[in-house]
Order: sequence, then structure tokens, then C-alpha cells
Amino acid sequence: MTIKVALMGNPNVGKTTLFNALTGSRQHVANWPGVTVEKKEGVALYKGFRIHVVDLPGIYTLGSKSLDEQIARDYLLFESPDVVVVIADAVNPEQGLYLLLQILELRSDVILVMNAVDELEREGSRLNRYELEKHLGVHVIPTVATKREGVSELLDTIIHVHQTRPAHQPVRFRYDQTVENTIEQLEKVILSKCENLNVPARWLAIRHIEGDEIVQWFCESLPPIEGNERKKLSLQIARSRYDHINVIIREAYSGKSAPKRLPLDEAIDHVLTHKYLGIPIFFTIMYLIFSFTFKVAQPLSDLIDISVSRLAEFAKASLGENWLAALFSDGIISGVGAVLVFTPNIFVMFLGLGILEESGYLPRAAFVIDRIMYALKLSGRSFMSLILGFGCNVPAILSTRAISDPRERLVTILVSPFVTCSARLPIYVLLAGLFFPQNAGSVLFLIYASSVFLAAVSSVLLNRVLFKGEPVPLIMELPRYRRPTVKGLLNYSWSKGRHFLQKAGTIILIASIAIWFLGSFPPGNVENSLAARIGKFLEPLFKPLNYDWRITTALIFGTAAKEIVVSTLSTFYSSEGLSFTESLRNSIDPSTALSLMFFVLAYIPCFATIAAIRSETQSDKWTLVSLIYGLVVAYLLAYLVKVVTGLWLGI
Amino acid sequence: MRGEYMRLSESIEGMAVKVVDLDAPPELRERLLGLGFVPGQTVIIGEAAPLGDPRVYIVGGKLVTLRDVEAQKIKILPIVDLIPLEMAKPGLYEVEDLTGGHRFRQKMEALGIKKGTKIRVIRNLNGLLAVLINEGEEVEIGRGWARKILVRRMEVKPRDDKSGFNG
Ligand SMILES: Nc1nc2c(ncn2[C@@H]2O[C@H](COP(=O)(O)OP(=O)(O)O)[C@@H](O)[C@H]2O)c(=O)[nH]1
Repeated sequence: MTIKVALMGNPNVGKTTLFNALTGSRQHVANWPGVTVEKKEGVALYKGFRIHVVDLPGIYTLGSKSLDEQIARDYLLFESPDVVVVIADAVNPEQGLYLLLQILELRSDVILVMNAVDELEREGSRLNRYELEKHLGVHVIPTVATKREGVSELLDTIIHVHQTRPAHQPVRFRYDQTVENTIEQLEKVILSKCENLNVPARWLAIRHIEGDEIVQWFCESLPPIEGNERKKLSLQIARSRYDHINVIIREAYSGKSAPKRLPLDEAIDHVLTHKYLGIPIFFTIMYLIFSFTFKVAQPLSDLIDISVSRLAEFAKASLGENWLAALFSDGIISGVGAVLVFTPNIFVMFLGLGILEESGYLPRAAFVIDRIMYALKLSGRSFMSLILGFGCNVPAILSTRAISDPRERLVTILVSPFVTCSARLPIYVLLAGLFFPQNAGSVLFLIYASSVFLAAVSSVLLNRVLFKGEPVPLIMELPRYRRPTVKGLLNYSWSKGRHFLQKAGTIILIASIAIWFLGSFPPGNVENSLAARIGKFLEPLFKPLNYDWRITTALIFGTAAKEIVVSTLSTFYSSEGLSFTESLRNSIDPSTALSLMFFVLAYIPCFATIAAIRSETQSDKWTLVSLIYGLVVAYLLAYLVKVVTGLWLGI
Repeated sequence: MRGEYMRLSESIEGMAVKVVDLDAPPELRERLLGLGFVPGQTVIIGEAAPLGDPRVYIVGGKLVTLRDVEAQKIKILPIVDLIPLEMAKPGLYEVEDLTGGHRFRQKMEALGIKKGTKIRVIRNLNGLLAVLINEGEEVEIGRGWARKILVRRMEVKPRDDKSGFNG
């Protein structure tokens, strides 16, 4: 028997962690609001039941308009889950219980999970679940999602609630008399006008007062409520809910002092968000991450590098001198290997980002630099989406769904390809290490800083040209600091870095084979190969940048996935007898290398990102704008870099 | 009307204030309500970001960031939480200060009242109080003295609650 369960709750209460604990899956969790952008689904098999769990985006109310709030609400209304699990933060339950009260107006087969009771106990307080149950009329399960405490009880309760399904008369919460009168009148209108309602009329009446347009969907042409009246009633409704919640908390909690911040959190915040130090600290942390990405991973990368070339030699030696051996050693092993070499760099970078995310620093960073984002007519919220882009642009673009303002969302989507993703890292690491061995870390930082700068300038430009817009609000919750766990970090780096390995095994493998063929046929001089002809055909376009046909071809293939730039270069340059890196170093000068890095930074992101832009903007026009804009910027920037460094390095 | 109420954006770090009203358009209002900015709610003002804006506000134990443009839409009253004992309604209080002279302090000392003493008000008849000092014996305090004792309320009696569940 299948039971459909929806998980709902405020952002950052541990929903994803609980989802993973319930279903045994490994969705990555993050200590920042708005990480659950899509609904995730999983299955728990328990005592003969198939419990189908859906993790919905974190929300504060059922009524707001951002896309993720709509996803959550629509699921609740139209997909009719069998049981709804509302997760509240045991330490600061007010906002969670507020959401619960709203959901209870819609349905009563709800279970309340009070998560992170471990942190509550550490604070010296306890909660009495039976008091909560008495007041709220629902089952209450305290849990520690990270330690799977309470999970089996939750599963039992889900089955119990499903089985004993009472006659569904949603719990009624009474408001002040004036509010009740209005609700009553509206209810009468609703019941007379609209038949076959599958939601409670009372809920519709309340939503109508609160100004939710979804009401139209169920029952059209309700009498409008005048703006001031609506405001007065909505405030009264919210007030009664919180008053009630406060009473419940007083009864159900013991040892809970007036809400205050943990002293340690406060001290850390004092430094990290400090008036003068905040911004320098942010940049220092970012700098450290990028130089670690380079330094810590290097020995491992070298090891892989050596193994790959040994393997290629071995393949050549054992297969003999024929085209198959060449395909294996020069095509597949060198091509895929050239990309695999950067695996350690990528995992180290994700480890760094993982620490920032899990500890709760990232929303603080958004807070610290919000003023700057504000000048760019964006908010710290879109900053967080953009930061995700350092991993991969695709999730960054998907995560913009949590941005409520459609204009800000579009701008964020359009500028996110400038955020340089981990797939571009191999190119930077390769070129920086080869041409600027003394300052590789700094060059890397320069690239990343320019990436941020490009995204920033572009967003100002887009806002200017397209919208002449108002800035959008930044309303964001700062989570408690949490010590990142080894398990969490490994889980995080693995779930993100795995993607890179998968690509190496699929698209990069295929591309390496294709490139090898294009580069080897017709046989003979590589200069006459098919790939060379493609490259040479377009070479004139890149003449001003000093890119030869090999680079040109690499850039073209790189649009499938940026790592392919490296494998293409490795195929073409290794065919000159010397090792690929040596011959690359002999063929181009540092200023060309630097300009190439900038070109890669800005030009067409990979196919997957283009597809994501297309599907999230739902517009061919914007997709095209993004492509062309990227190309133009890349070309101009690369040219500029070449000229400037050319002068500077005296080449 | 301005002047009558302060705006949240005008509050100072460390202050405790009470939300009075929201001026926000419906959608922003719904968000603010969901985060706990309801009339009657106590908000503590946290620190500002490096360039002065946005700021952190502590609402119901959570840290929420708002820019000044949004905070400007929230009307507040600063909470003055020190009152003379003379005005105290029944409940538990903590002595914050004695505003009389040396002799007055000595007398209070004799009764066991100094900074930090817990006073439970049993009755308040126009400034004539019946109190328990540190939950001890019942003592009467006259208006003249009560006026010079500044106290802070420690526990809030649950409001008479008209609304509730009946489901
Ligand atoms: N101490 C503690 N931390 C938790 C618990 N549940 C989740 N967390 C942490 O809270 C953070 C946010 O969790 P996540 O599942 O991403 O929240 P979501 O945004 O609601 O999906 C992560 O850093 C988790 O490790 C818990 O029960 N106890």
C-alpha cells in the first residue's frame, strides 16, 4: 500500500536532512535558506508500506508569490498528499507553528515534527510534546534528523494517521469576533456560489481576506475587500495566530528564556559581519578557498597526471603501433585523463564551499555584501544563487526559483553563466600553472574576481537597459551556526563532484573519441585533419586574439562541456612528440594564455546551462540574448586582456 | 502619522521594540507576517551590515535581515521596560535601581530590597502595595517609597485568551 507524504516547513529547519533520513537518499543539505528549490521525491519501505515522500521547498506562509512558495502550496492543494508532515525548528518554533496553523485550516491529517531537539537541550530547555499535542490537535514527534532520532516513530505515526484517518473536520481556530463575522459572511457567499468545493470554505474565506489570488481558482467573483479593511483583518488574523502560538510555547516549553542569541553565535557574528572587517573577511575567505583549491590538490593532481601518462604509454606499448593504440592512448586515455587530473582541485573547492554552506556563513556573506548587490539592483538572495554557480551553473539557475521578484530572477539567470563553474576550473588550473607558476593562486583569484565583476556589471547593465527597475527586498533568515560534520562535507563534495566524474565518463569520453577521429583523419599530418579544417575555417575570426586553429577547435568543442577544451588541447598538442603541456608552453605566450582564460570565462556556457536558461526563462529570445551577449563580452574581454598584458609583459 | 510612532529603520542597535503596524503592500506584508513581524511582537535590533544597511533583527529567536527600505514600513514603539513599582500590576518584578538618597537605600536594605531583588506584587491599591520580597513574607509598601523603586517585569501573565481551538 502506498502512502503519499508531503514534507513542509520553513527554510533551513532540516527538511532535506529528514528527507534523507526517511528515504535513505543522499540529497545534499545546506545551511542556508532556500536550498530546496524543487520538490524531491523518494520512497521509504516500512512495515509493508510504500511511503512516498515529497520534500517541498521551504516556505513561511501559504500565501506569497515566489515560485517555490507556489510549488509548495500547489502541491498541497492539487496533488492531495495523504499525510502532511510539517517540520518546525524546536529551538525557535514560532514561525514554524505559524505555518502549521495555516495548514491546519486546510486539513487535519497533519503531523508536526519538532526537529533539532538536540540543540534545544544544549540550550538547557525542554519541550513537552503532549502539551503541544493537546493544544494543536495533531501528533507531535521530536526528532534529531541528523542522528535519525525519532525517524522510525515518525514513520509509525505516518502509517497510524493514514490508517485511522478520522472524519476530516479540520481543526478550527477561532479569531477575534470582527474577523469571525467577516469569515462567516464570506463562507455563506462561498457555499452559495460554489458547489463541489474540495477545500474547506472557511479556509477559502480566510485566504480571501488575506488577499490570496488562488481563491479565484476555487470560487470566482467573491466580493472584493477594500484595501484598508483587508489589511486590518489580515493583521488581526496574524496577531491571533501568534498570540495563540505564544501561549502554546509558554505551556509546552520549560527552561526557555526569552528569545536570545547564543552568545557564541553572537560573538562570531560580531566579527564576521563587522562594520569594517566584514567585507575584507569575506574576500579573504574566498581567496583562501581558491588558493587552497590550487595548492592542496596539486600533489594529488600530479600523481594522477603521472599515472595517466604511464597508462597511455602502457597502452601504446601493449597494443602496438596501430590506429587502435593511438585511439586509446592519444584519444581516450589522454583526453579523459587530461580532465581527470583536475578531480582533486574540484573536490577541494567543493570541500571549501561545503564548509561555507554547512556552517551557515554564506547567508552572512550575502548579508555583508547586500549593500553592494543593492547598488546592482539585486539582493543578497540572488547572490546566493550566483555563488552556487561556482559549482555548476545549472543548479544556480534552477535555484533562482526561490527569488520572488520576476525581474530579479531573470537578471540573475542571465548573468549566472558569468559565474565561473567548476568545469572551467581545469582550463584555468592548466594555463595558470603552466604560464604563471609563481602566481597561479593569484591568477586563479583574479579570474574568479573578474567573474564576479562581470556578473555584477552585467546585472547593472541589464537592469538599466531592460527594466529601469526598483531594487528588490532582502528578507532572509540567518541560520544558527553549525559545525560542519565530516559526513556532511563528504556527502556534499561527493554529491556535487560526482557530476564531474560522470561527465568524464560520458560526454568527455565521447568527445575525446570524436576529437581524436577528427584530428586523425584523413591520416597523415594533423594540419590537414578534419578538425584542423574546422579550426582553420574559423581561425581568421580569432586572428586578432592570436588563437591558432587548435585553440579555435578546442573552444568550439568546449561548448558541449567546458572540460573538453582541455582534452582537445591535449589531443592536438600532444601529437608533436613533446608532452602536451610542454608543447603547449612552447606554442603560445603568457598573454595569449591569460586572454584565453578570460575568453573561456565568458563565452557560451555548456549545452546543459543553455538548456537550463531556456527552460527557466521559457523564452528563446532571452536564451539568444544570453548567448550572444556572452560571446561578445568574451571576445572583447579577451582582446583587452591580450593587449594590456601584452604591453605589460613586453611581448 | 509620523512622529507618533517610530519606524523600525530608525531604531538603534540593542534596542527592544514592539511592532505596532505594518505599512507594507499586501505581498510584502504577508512575508513579514510569516517571519513574525506582527503587531505586538517584540523585536530586538541586531547589528548592521558593513555599509549600514541591511540590518539583523531578532524576532521570536530567529535572526532576520531587512533592508532599511523594508524596515521603514514597520511602525514600532520602543519598549520602556523600567517602571516605578508604584505602577506595577500584580506579577513578578526585579529591582533595577533605587532612585532615593542614602537613607532611603538603607531603609530598603533593611527590608532586603536592593538591585536584583525579586519583588512579587500581590495587590496594588493606588500605589499602596502588598508585595513578597524574594518570595518571603508579605510586606506593605507605601506610595512614596514605591515611586522610588524602579523595577522590570520578569514574567508575563498569559493574556486572557479569547481565541483558541475548539475542534
Ligand atoms: N544539530 C542538528 N542540526 C540539524 C538537524 N537537522 C538538520 N540539521 C542541520 O541543519 C542544516 C539545514 O538542514 P537542511 O536539511 O538543509 O534544511 P532544509 O533547508 O530545511 O532542507 C544542515 O546544516 C543540517 O546538518 C538536527 O536535528 N540537529
